[in-house]
Amino acid sequence: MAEKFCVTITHCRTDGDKATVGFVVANAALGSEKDTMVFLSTDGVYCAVKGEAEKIDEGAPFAPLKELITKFVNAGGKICVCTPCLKKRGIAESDLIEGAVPAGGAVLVEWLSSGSPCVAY
Amino acid sequence: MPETYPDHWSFDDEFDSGEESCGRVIINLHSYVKELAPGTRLLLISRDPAAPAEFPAWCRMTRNALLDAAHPYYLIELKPELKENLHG
Repeated sequence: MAEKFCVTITHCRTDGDKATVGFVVANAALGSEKDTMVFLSTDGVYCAVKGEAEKIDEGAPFAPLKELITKFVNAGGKICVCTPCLKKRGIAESDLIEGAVPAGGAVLVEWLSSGSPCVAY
Repeated sequence: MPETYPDHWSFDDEFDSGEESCGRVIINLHSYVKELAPGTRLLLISRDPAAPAEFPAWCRMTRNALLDAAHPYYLIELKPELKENLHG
């Protein structure tokens, strides 16, 4: 996959609707053969914390958040989680779901600087 | 909406995404077609009202060929550029 795409998500507990739609769009990008990264920051980091996504289900026509995230990871999507945002909340790397990795601004900036578009939720 | 696809369409496989929309149908379709060989002709059925805009966009991005469309039916040939050239 030559072309990249990025979705940044800054909500989970604060706005499950935005977290859900963010992952829907990430799945659309991945399913359209874009090399896709979801960058989670601020409250959005909770999307990648074990047990948290299970709490969010916006109802039809949206799939539960956990299902959206699992599909994204299984299809080869990357999830990067803002390290200082994790530390601020007392979340350890071992609290993250499989497929999510701690990352910082350099990773995000490098990804976008290579020409990747980005949409934010 | 027509009750069935046009008579002259021929295809090897079909995928019915029902009324699902947006990323949900795209990721499901992507997961389904990645197991299929280039050149496979796929009948896609989608009752999503956005389908007439969504599937042409998806086909352009993924280099699948949208051969014909009669919403809710879409006839797609997968990756025609990657088909084996049997005549050398």
